[in-house]
Amino acid sequence: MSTVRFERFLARLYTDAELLRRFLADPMSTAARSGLDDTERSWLRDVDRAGLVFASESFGRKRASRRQPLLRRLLSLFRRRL
Amino acid sequence: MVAAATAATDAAEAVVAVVSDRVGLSWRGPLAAAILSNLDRIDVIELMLEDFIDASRDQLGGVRLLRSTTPVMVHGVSLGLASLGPVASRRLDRVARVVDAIAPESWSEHLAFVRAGDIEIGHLAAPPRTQSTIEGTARNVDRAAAVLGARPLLENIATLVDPPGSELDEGAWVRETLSAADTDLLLDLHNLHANATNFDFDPIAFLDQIPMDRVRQIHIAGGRWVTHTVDGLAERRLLDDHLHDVPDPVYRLLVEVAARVSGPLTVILERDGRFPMTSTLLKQLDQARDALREGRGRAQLPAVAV
Repeated sequence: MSTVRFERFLARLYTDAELLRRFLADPMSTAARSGLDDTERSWLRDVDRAGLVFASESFGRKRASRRQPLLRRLLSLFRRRL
Repeated sequence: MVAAATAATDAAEAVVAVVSDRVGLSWRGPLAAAILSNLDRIDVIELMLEDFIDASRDQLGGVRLLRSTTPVMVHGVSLGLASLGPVASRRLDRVARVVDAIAPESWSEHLAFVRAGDIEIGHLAAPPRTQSTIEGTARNVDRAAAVLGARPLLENIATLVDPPGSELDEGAWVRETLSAADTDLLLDLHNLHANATNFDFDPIAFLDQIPMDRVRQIHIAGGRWVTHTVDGLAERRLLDDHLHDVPDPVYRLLVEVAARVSGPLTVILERDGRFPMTSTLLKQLDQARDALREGRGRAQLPAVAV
């Protein structure tokens, strides 16, 4: 079983460093405050804590590398206008 | 003994003559000159689908020109088919425009989710390995096939986190997903090697779990170790970064796959940066050909009584 809400929670853990920090400090309370029900929280009981850190860091780096070309394009447009 | 070795070599050559395996490269801008000047040693080219989403008619015409000389396949990273949420029609329409314009041999996507609602993860995330995500993936593959007119090959992904909420191991999940989605596998051997290393399972046992008759294409690549201190402990994981040479365990897995698959295989070397000399890339393609030949030969060896 999985749910759309659980998938969204994982996406938030992978993209929100502050949420991940709170989750690692207190997983069940953080999951409850994020709206997960008892069943969904039980799926996080033996979560791969180190893996969450590796994955979120890797995804963050990917997002940053995608932003760079866009920034470069905007800067070059800006320079051309000047 | 010499006679047996000769027989094995003959058998391997005979099989290679019948099974037309191909070895090629993923297209990257900085590799363009290397690829175009070595098309006699590159059997096939894989294009990154997202590179052509905003392509002009002229640019797509250039790709069609390339396709007239070399087989071309397209490979996507942005649909997020392995999700409980439906893949958006507008995304499928944009992908369909590229696939229609290029008319590749095949198109492929990943067994991953990349977003949830308005949250863009930025890369390929492994979904919880459950019956729900198997069914969600199958629904999305149906949607994609309805728009694009062809089912995608699906690729196993590398993950740095054991997917939270999983009920199945990776081999079982991949097997059941391919069956439910009624499609074939693009088997990424570095992803398999990285996951087996990080989560301590036997990659050969994974090959035993999946339907080898569904393996059509292979990816090979390299990676590096990354480290973090978590809960006071130094941890390390193998990252699939496409920035390093293909390591030996990946070639050994390629031998195993070639020994188990009866149909033709297309092997693509993925390299996204830190590009080496062209000769190094071509040598890695030759190593892949050697691995295929060895595996095909092994498949033909007669059983030996012990």
